Amino acid sequence: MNSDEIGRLIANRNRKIRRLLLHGVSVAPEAFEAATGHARAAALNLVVERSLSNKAAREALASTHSALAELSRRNPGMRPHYNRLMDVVLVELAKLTQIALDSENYQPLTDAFKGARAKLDDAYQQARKTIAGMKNAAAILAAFGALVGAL
Amino acid sequence: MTSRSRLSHWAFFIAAILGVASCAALPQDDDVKTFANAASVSSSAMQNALETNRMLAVGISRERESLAYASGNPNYQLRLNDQDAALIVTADAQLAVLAALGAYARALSRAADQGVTAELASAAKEMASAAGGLAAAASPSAAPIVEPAFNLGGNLIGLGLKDRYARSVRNVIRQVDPAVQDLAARMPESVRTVALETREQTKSYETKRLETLDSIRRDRRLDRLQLYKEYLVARSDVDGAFALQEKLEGLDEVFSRLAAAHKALATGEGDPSEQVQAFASVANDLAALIKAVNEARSSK
Repeated sequence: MNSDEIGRLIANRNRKIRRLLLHGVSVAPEAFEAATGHARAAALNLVVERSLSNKAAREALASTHSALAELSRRNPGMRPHYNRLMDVVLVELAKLTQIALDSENYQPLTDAFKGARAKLDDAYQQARKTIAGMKNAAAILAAFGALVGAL
Repeated sequence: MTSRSRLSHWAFFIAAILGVASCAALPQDDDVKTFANAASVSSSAMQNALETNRMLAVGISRERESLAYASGNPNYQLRLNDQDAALIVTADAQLAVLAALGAYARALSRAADQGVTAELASAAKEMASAAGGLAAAASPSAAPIVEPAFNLGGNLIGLGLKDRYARSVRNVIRQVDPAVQDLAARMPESVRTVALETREQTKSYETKRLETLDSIRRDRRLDRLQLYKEYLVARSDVDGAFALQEKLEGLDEVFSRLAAAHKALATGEGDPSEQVQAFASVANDLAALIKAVNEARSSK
């Protein structure tokens, strides 16, 4: 699903939610407009950008979900109904969250940390080896000195 | 070349190649500990966010299924359904980079231990002193001059080794610093991505608990005390979920602390062109010395 399709989906859902709401409590349509930059672009008389970024789509879905949660809190009689709607929105939010997380590339940083760790381990091992080597050399020199002294 | 002169040659050779170096120091213990602590907290930040995500997905599922069961709905389950499982997100790349950061921090804590440089210095001094003893044994009249000379040589070797080791550690820190800064700048957004979902999950969990409480209250056989207790349990669960969410949303500071702590480690004296290999070559030189001494001894 590309961002245009997600945008259309959210717009459709928001229209449905708006129809469902008798008191106009939902802030989702406004949040959706703000997220797309539609209202701002229209105010400046610019070409309206209809495509949504993943982040904007997630924020719009979160706003829709929050609005439904508020409706669920305020209307005990309709609570099961709003809760079912919330389930659907939440699954979509989770899908977009997963896409956002998967699109982040941390591999170069992971490699950098692994390389740095290997270098530090190497330096440390070399230091331990050197210390042991010097102690060994000292013992050998001392024994050798005793031998020379005895001659 | 006699064995004695060969030994002296090696000892002074080592002193000459290692002794002439400006002083570099390992990062301060406190700075290393601060960074290691920040790295450890940062490593657990994403883990906490993912655990919260999972816990809430399970909580929402439990609430729905238990309500279905208690309400006489035959389609109740004792496991997560596909919709519940879809709420659980994974962040393998993020966990991998944080694990690598944690491993780097642990390696740094070990390598930057001041005890290593102290041991390097004392072992070098011990070796030079033994070499001095050898010279004194071979030529007792020269002892007053030879021994201090060897001790001095030992100090120089110690200083050189300490310096090279500290430089190699510093260089690694400096080289990896841009990666740490990059991580500290980007990871908060990754955590926020998960936190946005968990925030909405928390609200879902809350409304599900409300629905369950509504259903319980419809059972006329329950008295006020039972209802009161049910409410308190639900309230405590929901309060806990919101508290956890608040904690997740306040994690940005952890990463800025990580960036600052590593920056403090990276800024320090030393020559950036020095490589860890320079230190390795010292170890090889020493191995050559030991070999030469062994050969000299066996030829005796």
